[in-house]
Amino acid sequence: MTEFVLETQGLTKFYGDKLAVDHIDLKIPRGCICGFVGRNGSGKTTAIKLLLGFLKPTAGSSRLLGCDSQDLTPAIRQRIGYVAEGHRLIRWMTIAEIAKFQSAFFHEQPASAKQGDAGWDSKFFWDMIDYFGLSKKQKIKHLSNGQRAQVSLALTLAPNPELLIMDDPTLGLDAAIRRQFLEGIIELIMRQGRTILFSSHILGDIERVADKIVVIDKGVIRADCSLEQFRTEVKKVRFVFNQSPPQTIDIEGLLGSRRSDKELEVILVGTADEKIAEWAKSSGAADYQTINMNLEDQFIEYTAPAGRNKPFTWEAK
Amino acid sequence: MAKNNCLEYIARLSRAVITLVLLMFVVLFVQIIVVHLAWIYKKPSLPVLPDSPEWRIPKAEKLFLPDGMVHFVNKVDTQSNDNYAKEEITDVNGLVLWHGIHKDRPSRYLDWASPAPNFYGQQMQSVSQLGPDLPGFMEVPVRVSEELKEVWRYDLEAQVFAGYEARGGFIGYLGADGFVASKAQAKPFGECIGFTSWTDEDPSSIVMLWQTTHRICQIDFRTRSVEKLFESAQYDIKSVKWHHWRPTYPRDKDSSDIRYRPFIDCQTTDKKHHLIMREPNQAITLELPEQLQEPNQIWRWHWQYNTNLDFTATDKAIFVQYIEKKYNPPASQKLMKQYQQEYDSKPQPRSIQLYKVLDDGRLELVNRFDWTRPVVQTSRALNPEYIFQKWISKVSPPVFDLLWALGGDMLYKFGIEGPGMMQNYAKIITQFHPYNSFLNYVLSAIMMAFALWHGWARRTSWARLILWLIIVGAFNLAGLLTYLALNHTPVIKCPACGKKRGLEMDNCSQCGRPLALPQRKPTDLIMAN
Amino acid sequence: MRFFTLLKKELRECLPWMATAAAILLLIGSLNLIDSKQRQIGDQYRTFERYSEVGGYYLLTHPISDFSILVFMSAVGLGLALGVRQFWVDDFMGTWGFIVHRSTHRTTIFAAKICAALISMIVAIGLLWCYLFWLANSSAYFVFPLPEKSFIGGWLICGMGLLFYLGAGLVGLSKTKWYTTKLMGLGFALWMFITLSQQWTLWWGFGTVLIGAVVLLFLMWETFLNREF
Repeated sequence: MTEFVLETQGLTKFYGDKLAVDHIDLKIPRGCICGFVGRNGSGKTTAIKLLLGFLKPTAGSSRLLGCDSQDLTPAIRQRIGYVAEGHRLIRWMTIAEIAKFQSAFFHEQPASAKQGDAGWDSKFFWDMIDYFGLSKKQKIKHLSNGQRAQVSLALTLAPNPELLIMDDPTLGLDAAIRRQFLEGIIELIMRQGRTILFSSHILGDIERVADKIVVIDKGVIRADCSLEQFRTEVKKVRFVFNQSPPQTIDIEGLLGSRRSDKELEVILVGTADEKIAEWAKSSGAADYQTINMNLEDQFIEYTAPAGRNKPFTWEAK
Repeated sequence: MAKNNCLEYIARLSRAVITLVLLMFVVLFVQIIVVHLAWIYKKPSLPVLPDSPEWRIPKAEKLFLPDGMVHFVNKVDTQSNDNYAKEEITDVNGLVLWHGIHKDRPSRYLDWASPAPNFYGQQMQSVSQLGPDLPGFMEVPVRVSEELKEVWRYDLEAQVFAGYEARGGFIGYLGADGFVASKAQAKPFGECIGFTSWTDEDPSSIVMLWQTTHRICQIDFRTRSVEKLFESAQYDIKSVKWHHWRPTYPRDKDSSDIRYRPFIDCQTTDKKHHLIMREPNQAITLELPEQLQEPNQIWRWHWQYNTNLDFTATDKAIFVQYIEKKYNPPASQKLMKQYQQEYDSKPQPRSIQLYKVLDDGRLELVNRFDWTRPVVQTSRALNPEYIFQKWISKVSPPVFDLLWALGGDMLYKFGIEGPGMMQNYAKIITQFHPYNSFLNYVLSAIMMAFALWHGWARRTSWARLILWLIIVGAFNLAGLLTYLALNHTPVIKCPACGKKRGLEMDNCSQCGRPLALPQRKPTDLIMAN
Repeated sequence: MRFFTLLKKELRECLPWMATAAAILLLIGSLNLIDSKQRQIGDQYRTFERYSEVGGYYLLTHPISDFSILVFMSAVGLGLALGVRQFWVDDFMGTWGFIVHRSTHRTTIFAAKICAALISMIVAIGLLWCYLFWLANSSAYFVFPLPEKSFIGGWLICGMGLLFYLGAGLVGLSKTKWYTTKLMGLGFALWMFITLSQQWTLWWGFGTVLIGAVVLLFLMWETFLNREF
């Protein structure tokens, strides 16, 4: 039986009379690396805060490591690492002081501990700080965004959390630091049984590390499947016609379309190749081809607002 | 979970109570501002008695000569300073005897004792209040040749004076029995009601007339002496008046001057007057006949200023002046206004009587004059400030009326002489209770209806909604504001029934159905785990 | 261990405010007392004319009102500053997530804040009050030794500072609108201050401060436990 480290059931949150998160049902098994993606304002941060018990749901519930999110015990919190958006840390502390502060909430790993054992791994922390080229006497307020992100990651990974929740951890970071960040995550992944939920706007990062993707749009989960499945199921197909393309597009799994004089581009979800071929024939298309999309393109098309068929164009005056 | 629920309930209750009280203060503040603006905008006119002939005698100041003759003084010019006011003196037959400015009056009229304490015990308590400037003290300096020699500080708890040398060093204590060296020997004066202090020829120290509930003492700090002028073991002292007691600048007295004796009138709660005089020393206790007893009053300060009896002592005789008003207000302050209106609406017989006090304590009538006070046309009700107060109190809590009904007299008394904050709270209820006004009830009902309409969609339980309606009804505007402050939660349109519903409960308060699930699209990629 | 870690962190954050309040109080308070020591004995007492009635108000003295008001302003200022620092700044800086996601109960985090503020008030205001009171009592300007009531009254002033701290903290923690119950904490602290100023017995004074502190503390605790971050 699959063990789920993260479960939600009908999780709903209203801010005033505005619906932020609408009946989220999510299950993340142990060992899964889940990418949590959505447009700005889609409800990602709200969902994460609900999971961690920082917000009270209007309806529904969620559990982390078997414990209700609203009643997370200290022992459970110790097993959960959290990287907040913006990497907000205590600004007046130095790196050494914040390490000491963070480590006080975990038991110190004994010298004989193996990699991946629970507890504060002081050596691991300082190795990461050295790797990032930081000095222990530097104050947090004097660090750049990227350097703060590095410290935040080190602080979160050093206690060897079983579950790591990260809210847009690479926001505002340059490519090099993002790469280092991901390497840190991979390091954690290599330890057995670690589960990661992280939201990001950089789909390339998701693609590199995630094996499951959850897409949230206007507070509703629209996709909850393996990354591979998502990549396979979301397709862009271009049909070429000798005359104008047909007005009605009755193809299965149609998400959206764009048309020009003699071409029709459609976004399809879960449509079998045979159905595509069948429609091409029935609609009188002269030719059709499946266009390669990267994950970012797929995400954009998947979450495009309904009715938006044309790209934005400048009009010459 | 149970502990958390308990915590939440207590917190919710505390929050509601505090919010209600604070909003009551806010509403009260606005009420006071409105009343004051009314006062600034339209200052109340003093009741002006008419100038008609029937009012000539009632308006006149009635003064007795030492031989008992009564004269009437009418002010002709009310604008000038009192000493330079123009006045006209007439006799009982209306004959004009003299007219001129006040300071040139030809005759010397009898002058009467006035209330003694100029500083009350309550004011002394207010000095010892625990404010940011910390408790203060009452300290009496004693100087020698303009140099400070010693200071005597009054200990409010011990009720004695403690003395210190200015250059350091302790002197001793002054208590009811005089100067002693130690605190254990010092006899407390008793609860201080008030004192009056003055200097004599030597201004380097002061003398005090010290009044407690059972004693009147004279304390001379220079000589460290305490003279017990009067003591009543059984009855409380109700009021103290004095006349020519403290020494004044010696001046040449002409033959027309009346020679007054230093005089104190002390009334106790058994309605007896204890007269203490000097030059020569004399003490008389008067038990006045019933017709000269004063009407009931319910608060101490009223006794001092609204008595019908005046006393004075000259070298010739001791006189009592009695102004008979047939004014007998009810003991209950709640009925006072109605009584006052009825009293003003009818002509009232009045008289002024002069008596001599005989050596055996009996009174001998010297002279008497009777007249009728016409109907009083001016009314306090026309006072703009009063009108505004009456209208603005329509938004006051009806609960104030309930408190007024249960203990109005006690509230009135507390508002005058209550301790600390109780005085302020009592004053608020006394001045701003809505007087069982129909409009007040109507406003409460309207606010309850609004709260019901507002809370219908948001209700989490009937009990809670009803409780809030009761609070709104009982506390009027403050109650409604409190309700809105704590209960203005968001509402949405229920997707099932289309009506408004709150979000505090899982299910709709109107149709009972939960929030609808989001619509699934055919393109959703939700795979079972 | 976790509590003391949190306490150390909170004390470190309170330190600049403590130091500022203590410096102001020490400097100005001492100068005030030294200045009063240099005045002539008896200057604080009025002289009177011959044969005059002396109003009772002329006999009233508030020997240490100058610097007791200073203590009051320092206590209230420090209280407000600590309340803002502990409960408002983390909102602005967005660090609540980092602070609250600790392997410890929220009550422990809350208790550390309160203890740190209490220690700060006692050290910065309370102990200095003791020193300044001793200085005032040994000053030749005052004929009388100042009584215990004044000394305890000073501690009640510190208590008022604590109430304003709790009030400011409750305002910071509250997520309601300003025109509803957001300002309730400071409003209540103000009410308690007015009530205290009307009391003239120490027991009632203590009672006022104690009731105010307990109520505010209770409300803050409940708000902190249930607050959304």
